[in-house]
Amino acid sequence: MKQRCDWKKIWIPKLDVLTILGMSVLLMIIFAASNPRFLTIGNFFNLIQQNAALAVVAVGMTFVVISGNMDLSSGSLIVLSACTAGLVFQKTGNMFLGILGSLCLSAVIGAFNGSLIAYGKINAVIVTLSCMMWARGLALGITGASSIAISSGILDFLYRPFLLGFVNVSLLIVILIMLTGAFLLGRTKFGRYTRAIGENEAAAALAGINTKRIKWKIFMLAAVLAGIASVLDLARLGSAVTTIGTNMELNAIVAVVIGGNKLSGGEGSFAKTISGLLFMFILYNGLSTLGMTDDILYLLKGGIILFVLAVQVLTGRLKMKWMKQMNSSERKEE
Amino acid sequence: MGESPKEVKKKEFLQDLLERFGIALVALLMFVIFSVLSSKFCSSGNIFNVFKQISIIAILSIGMTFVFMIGGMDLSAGSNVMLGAVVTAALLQSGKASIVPAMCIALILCMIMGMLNGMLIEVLKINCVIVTLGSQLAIRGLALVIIKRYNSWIWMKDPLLKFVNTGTVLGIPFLFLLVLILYLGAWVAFHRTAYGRQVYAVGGNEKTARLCGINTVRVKVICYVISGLTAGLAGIVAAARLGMVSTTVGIGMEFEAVTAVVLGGASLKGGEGNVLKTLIGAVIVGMIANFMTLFGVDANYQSAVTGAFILFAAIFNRMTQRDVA
Repeated sequence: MKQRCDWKKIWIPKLDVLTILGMSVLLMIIFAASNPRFLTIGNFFNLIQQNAALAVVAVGMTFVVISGNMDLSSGSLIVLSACTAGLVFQKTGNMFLGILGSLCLSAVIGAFNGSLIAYGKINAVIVTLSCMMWARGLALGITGASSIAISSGILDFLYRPFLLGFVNVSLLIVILIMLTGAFLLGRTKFGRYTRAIGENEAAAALAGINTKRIKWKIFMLAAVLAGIASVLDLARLGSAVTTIGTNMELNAIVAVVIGGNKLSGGEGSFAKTISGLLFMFILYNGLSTLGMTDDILYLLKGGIILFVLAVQVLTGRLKMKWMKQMNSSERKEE
Repeated sequence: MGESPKEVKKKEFLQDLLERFGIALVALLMFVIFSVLSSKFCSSGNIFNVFKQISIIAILSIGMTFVFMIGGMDLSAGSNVMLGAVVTAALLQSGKASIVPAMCIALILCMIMGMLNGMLIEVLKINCVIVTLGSQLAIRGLALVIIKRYNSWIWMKDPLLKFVNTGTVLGIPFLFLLVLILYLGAWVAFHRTAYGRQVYAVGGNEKTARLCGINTVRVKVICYVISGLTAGLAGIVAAARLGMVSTTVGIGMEFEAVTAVVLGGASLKGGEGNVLKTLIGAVIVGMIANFMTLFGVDANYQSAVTGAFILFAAIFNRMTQRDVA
């Protein structure tokens, strides 16, 4: 009896992560059944490489969402940074300067947006929404809506596999950023304060947390990660195209939330974000290998996302119920 | 401190005035600046033109205001616009229905979509942003399935739709009147009906509203239904304005509507907002677009300029408000 209780204690609190992982496995089985090449380790890592930028953006988005905010600017920041890198490369022929320029630019924009949101107390949605417009417009304007081809050793170095035919530097960067994010969220003051702001900002401020500074840092982090994501996307595509990063912010939000992080803030973990990302990768990649037309693709994507969300909510309720039962039975035993 | 009560009162009065009419001031300021910069801007013909250009977004923003009022968001509105346009066009093209029944069917379908959104959000209690993001994909898929059967391109030649686009009543463009009438209706619904007060109550404090005996779930679901309805209407107007329906109708429109609503001072937390201010927000967006065309801004830079103007408007609007935190 005692042992069963302990076992329950392990899996019940993780029910939401287990649900989404179960769904991912289910999808994987379906896709593997219809396409034998889907279920290979090479394709699995390929999934992550194809979506390296999304994974990096989702890390920043996790912090933003847990703090109870939303960042709609990531996709446009990616295209603006990528185009900046492209232009710098075109002018100087030095990709290192290009990457530096794109990272600096995204940091400056992040600082600007963060200041408006945290210190100017303007709603984050309207600030990042306007940034989404002006950054993409600026990217279109400075490039004249044409793409810039970049052939550079650095990008090759980032994308060319050096181990087992599929491990490349950008994959390692993604994993490193994920681990750093998980560490920041779970083990540092910054992570705890982020949760506190998401739970109750006024209370956090009264408790002596410099909420403005933390909020500024969160948006700064999200912007810098978008800059890194743009470099990874450049490495993958080999050219700065004005359509990259389209809908990236929305996909990142869906990935973060479908993993079980609450959009109202205060709760969340990287296990959830990673399982949400995994689900999205499998869904998008799997659907595209089936070779369907747009219309059915949209229907299936939307339908599956809504279905999984509903399941996620129902298991969330089940989890709360079981947790309560567990706590009360524990109290009885005492 | 050193101020007499009279001075304080005067200051508070000014503050109140600014807070109440801040966004109208922004609109007026922009109007004056644009008129000075471009001589063609300030003519009655052009002003009607602006209204015609914003009609789709303005109609869409009515429903978005309802949804914002209860602390929600409807990102599927753009896809619903497409569904409304596609269903109307497809029914007309196939000859299965004449224009009025076709419009009714399209509107009812859009309302059902709104209801499904509302049910998922309020009955299952899933976050509104994520539900409507999912339904944005699903509804667009549905509309695409329909329009694919007509080779992705349907011409609209109906006389009634042509009248909607170019017709005039007593010398005033019909679209201008339509927008005004719809906003008047929305204003009446908000401020002169029990339902409107319930919406404000639910948005302000849901728990209290429920304890007062308001069926909060019903109130909120109806808000999403209204959003579906206005999206359908916007879709029909879009079909009329463009004269054809293709696969790109409505893309990104939800963000323009959100912009108009937020410029109008609605809070994302709900309970705050005013449908007439939303109209002003929509007019601001329209004026910017119109001015850029008149001024000859490079098409590539247009969205950059729009974004910058919206940011300025938001900053200005914020400065006119009292410090809340």
